Amino acid sequence: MLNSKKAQVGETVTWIVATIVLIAILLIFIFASSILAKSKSLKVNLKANSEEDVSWIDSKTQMAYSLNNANRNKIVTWISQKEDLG
Amino acid sequence: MDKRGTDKMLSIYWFLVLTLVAGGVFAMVYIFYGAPHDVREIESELLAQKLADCISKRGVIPSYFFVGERFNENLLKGFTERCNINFDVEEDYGDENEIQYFYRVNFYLIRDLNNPVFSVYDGNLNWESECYIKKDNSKEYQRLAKCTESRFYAVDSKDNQYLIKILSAIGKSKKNVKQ
Repeated sequence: MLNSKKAQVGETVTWIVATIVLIAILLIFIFASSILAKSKSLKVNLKANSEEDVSWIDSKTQMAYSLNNANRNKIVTWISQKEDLG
Repeated sequence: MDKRGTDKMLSIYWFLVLTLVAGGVFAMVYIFYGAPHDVREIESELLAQKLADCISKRGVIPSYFFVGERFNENLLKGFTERCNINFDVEEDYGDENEIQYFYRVNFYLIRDLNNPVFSVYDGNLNWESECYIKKDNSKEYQRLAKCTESRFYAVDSKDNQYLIKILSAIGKSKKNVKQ
């Protein structure tokens, strides 16, 4: 009886494998947390009116159009050429 | 058969697993919440909005911007204070004790959209050059200033048309980017 410990060894190996799997899963989650931390960013739409798709600064352009509507196409083209510096 | 020894070993093992899982959870939370949010893009947009509010009141440029037919050169000094903007808000300006904000406002006439008729700026000029560097997500570029370009249209009291471009830049990489 003392010489045969196959059951004990089998059980121990099972626990070792389970521990390795546990550590691997924890490492995956820690890696995922670091990825999520890097991708943290805040994007806010600063709209004049939440129902309309017009930004606060664009609303100033709209108000100016009501005073002087000349060269509208040229103005629209120039405004649309703004650079994305983000 | 006497198996009390096995149970004691298992108890030690469970405490070990508990410690391991607790350590893993602690590491996850620390890594995620230890990284700061980068709010500089929003901050630069808000600075641009504040300047736009100062320049255009319901689509009209206020009369104090002009002296006769020309722009008021006195605006080159004190424009920031006139717009109720205060750059002196950071307790720690960094190692070089430099201002963390910059803006430039260019006014263009319809007939010449390449050369501004009037330009006013304030803040740290170093940030302006960083605005035009092509950036990717690498850590070196994240430490550069975050910039916003805004364009809009306004008229003066005599219905002359002006196109206005605002470039606003925020430094503050120490507070917004993980070092």
